[in-house]
Amino acid sequence: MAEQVVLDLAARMQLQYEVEQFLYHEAQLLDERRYDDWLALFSMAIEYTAPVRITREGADDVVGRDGLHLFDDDYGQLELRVAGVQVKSAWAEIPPSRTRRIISNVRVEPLEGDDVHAHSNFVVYRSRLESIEHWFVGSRTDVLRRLGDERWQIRKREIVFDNVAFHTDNISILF
Amino acid sequence: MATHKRVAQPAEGRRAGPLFLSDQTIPPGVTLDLGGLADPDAGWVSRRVYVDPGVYELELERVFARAWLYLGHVSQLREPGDYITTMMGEDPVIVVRGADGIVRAFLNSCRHRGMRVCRAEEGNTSFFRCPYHAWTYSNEGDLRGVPKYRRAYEGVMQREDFGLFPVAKLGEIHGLLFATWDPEAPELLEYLGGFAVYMDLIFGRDPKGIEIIPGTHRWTIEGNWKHAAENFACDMYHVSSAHQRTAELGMMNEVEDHGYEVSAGAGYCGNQFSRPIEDDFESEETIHSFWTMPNPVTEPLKERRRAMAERVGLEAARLIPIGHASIFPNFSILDVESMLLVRVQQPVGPNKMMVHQWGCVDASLDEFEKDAMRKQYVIAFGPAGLLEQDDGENWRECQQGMRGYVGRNLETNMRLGLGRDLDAREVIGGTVPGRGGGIWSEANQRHFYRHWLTYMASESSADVRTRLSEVSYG
Repeated sequence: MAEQVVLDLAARMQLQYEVEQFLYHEAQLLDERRYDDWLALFSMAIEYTAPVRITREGADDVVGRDGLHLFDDDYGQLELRVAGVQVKSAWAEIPPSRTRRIISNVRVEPLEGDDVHAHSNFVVYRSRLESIEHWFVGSRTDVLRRLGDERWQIRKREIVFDNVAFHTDNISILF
Repeated sequence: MATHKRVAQPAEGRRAGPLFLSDQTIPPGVTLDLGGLADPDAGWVSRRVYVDPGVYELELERVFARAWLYLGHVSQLREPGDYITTMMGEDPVIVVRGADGIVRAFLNSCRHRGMRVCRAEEGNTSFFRCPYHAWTYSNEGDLRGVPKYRRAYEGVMQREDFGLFPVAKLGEIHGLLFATWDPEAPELLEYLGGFAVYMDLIFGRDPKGIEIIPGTHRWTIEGNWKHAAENFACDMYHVSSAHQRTAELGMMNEVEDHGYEVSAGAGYCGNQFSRPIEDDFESEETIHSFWTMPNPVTEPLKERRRAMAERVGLEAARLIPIGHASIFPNFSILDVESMLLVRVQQPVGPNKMMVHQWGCVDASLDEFEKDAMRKQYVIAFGPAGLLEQDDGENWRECQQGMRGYVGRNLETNMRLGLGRDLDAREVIGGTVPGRGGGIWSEANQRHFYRHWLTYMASESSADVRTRLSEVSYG
């Protein structure tokens, strides 16, 4: 594990601002369905995962790495999803859903080099067809790398939804 | 294949107190003119079977309190005290390996005030203690602890009469556990009938059986449970349009005219092949030429086919992986080259289903191969899977299209390949049981509704047995 780096307050504030702006920008790309621009934010080495939750006592309520996931994608699979939502027969998103992503509770921990850990919460609202409404709530833990000029790259993302069961007919949007 | 001795047949005494099966009355609004609800031989089903609340209430009694329902897999219950919770119809159940090593299943409901005594989905415990008034049951289902028993209950009731309410019968086939609430139901193997042969091709091909990948995919779809059950009974007709996305992405080859659909006993299955099945055994290509994705499981599967060919014959073995399947009423299987899943469409009112779905792997595969199957399942058939996404959209919209007064009084059209059914031996070759069509057929959907009508029209399991013998395909 990369060691955590201690910064002074001014540097932390600048870092916080940069990371928040990056995450808001990313959310806007998805809300505007600019999927190719969104994919361009990811490293070719991306691990994009979302383990399922389990209701149990006295044990971790997130399944292990060998368990079922909602997403368990490398770059090629993420590319496939991005292509898949834009083809002519993507029925689950035709006509497209209207989505609004609210990103909050951003906590940034600098790591060694140009990487940071960024933890954020999300509430995603999906309005589909005339009056179908779905909510997705959870957190994301990212490893981001600064590319310079306030540009960042997503190198790792773990999405933890707060649901055991989803009341959403499917999960045809990205997080 | 026989019902395993580790599975308990419950004692009579525990069922003290009536199970109201025989006292049920037909709910108001349901006419028992079942001939008006479906005529499978003519290729139609009234849409009321998907939307009518009265029909749904009758299903809970006559289908879900009577038929064999899937509970889980023995690999989820390895140690004494291991339990899982699930649903049988709208009834919550606990499936638990007791301290004595025996697997049992009970209604998850305290015999005092009805509270669910177990609220986790899995775990290990020596007892289930109801939080409401602290009635406490052993992991063998016996009522052990009743606060103030001597002062307030002695002479009023016997603790042994109020253990957790057990299922009437519990059965196992290849490690898959099923149960029924009806003491008069046939044994599991009799219920499955000829479909046990097809179960063997899926769950019996690996000498070590299957393992369930940890975790469950759970999600609701705003559509009646039968939309999914009849689709998995094998609806190859929907693949080239509903899942055109995967062809556009190059994940799947174009659907050709080769394939099979067969109903046998309580099950239905079918698949498509991209070349004639006669050419599809020792080929260098992917099995059935269906998926275009490279797949580390292809070679191990071919080995299984060769081994199974010696045991069950070439014609049956070359069906492996057998494709899509459902077992009446709500258990389904997808067995394709890249993945294996089992699922239950739990009914949640007429207009909603809760899918419980598990990824599976053949137990003898190595860790790399198992992980490949897990990942392929997630991207294709988890709730965010590139195929499953569109099914959820479509089934919700089926329900939307048929909910209104006019819509519900029209029919669902099941005429594809009507009158062209063949014996399974003509479709597949060899000595396989059942009857069905080629790939372009709704023979299995029609047969599903013969079963459904039989259960709905029958007053008892004995009545079901008599009527089924008239429509059964072996």
